[in-house]
Amino acid sequence: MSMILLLIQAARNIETVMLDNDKLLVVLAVVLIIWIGIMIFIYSTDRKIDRLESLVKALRSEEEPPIDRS
Amino acid sequence: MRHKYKTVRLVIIIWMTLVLLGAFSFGGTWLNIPKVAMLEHTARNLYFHVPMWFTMMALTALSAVHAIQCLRTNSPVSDIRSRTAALIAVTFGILGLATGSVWAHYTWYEGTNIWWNFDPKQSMAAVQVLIYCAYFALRSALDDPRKRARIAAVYNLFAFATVPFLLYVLPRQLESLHPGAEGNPAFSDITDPIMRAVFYPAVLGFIGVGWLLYTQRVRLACALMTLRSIEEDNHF
Repeated sequence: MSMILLLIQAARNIETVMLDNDKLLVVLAVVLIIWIGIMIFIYSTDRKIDRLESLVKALRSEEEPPIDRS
Repeated sequence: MRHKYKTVRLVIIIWMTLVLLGAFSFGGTWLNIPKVAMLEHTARNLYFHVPMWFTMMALTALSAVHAIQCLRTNSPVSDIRSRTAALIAVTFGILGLATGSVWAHYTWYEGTNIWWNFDPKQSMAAVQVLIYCAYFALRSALDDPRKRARIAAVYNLFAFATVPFLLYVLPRQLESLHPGAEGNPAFSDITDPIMRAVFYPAVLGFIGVGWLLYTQRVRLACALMTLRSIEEDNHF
């Protein structure tokens, strides 16, 4: 029970902090959400390109004519 | 090589996150900025709007370097690099125009309906973006890849030659909302020196983000080029 009260208290404190300073921290929260989204996007695009590059590499090695060792 | 890229990527990401936290510092922290009438919190736009232009300039320089490389070696990869850098540069230029327009509307033109006022720097920046848009129009008009690479590289060098004039020289000769016209190098007298502590890292951070987007597009274009050549080999 006291745990719940503590959580409620913490949530209230967050609200005071967020509303302070002309609600500037709300903008920070929004910007950070966007930034985290962009970070996830950059990482997942990099992974996709990695996969594409290894596919291209595999195709290319299939393409190369067998070396004549006679 | 891949390992190095991943390290650089992680550094850029952490760096930018710290910049964002710094840009919103307030109260008793040492990065606290004074409140200037009319600007108020929008002074923080300095950390976001101006780095767009620095990133654009860095990428146009990169594009020009690879255009020279392309003319010297005829390498298709240089052509891809030059084209991709120009594309990301245009993207950041459009973001810079949009952010500047919004910023001016809610400060200098508060209470009016003005979104675009033909401020010299704004107009010249728009011309600059259009010059680079014409680069892509030129590319799309040419079919032969080798001819396209060479002609586009020459145009690219001419386009890059206009950058210092359109973004620096001309706007400073004319009355403008932007600082610099009074002979002051870049910052206004009312710009608190502490803002530089966030501004310069923000410039580096955004150039880093531009570089991440650039490398992604280059890798994608190179993979596509290889796939196309494999396809052509299979046809003939």
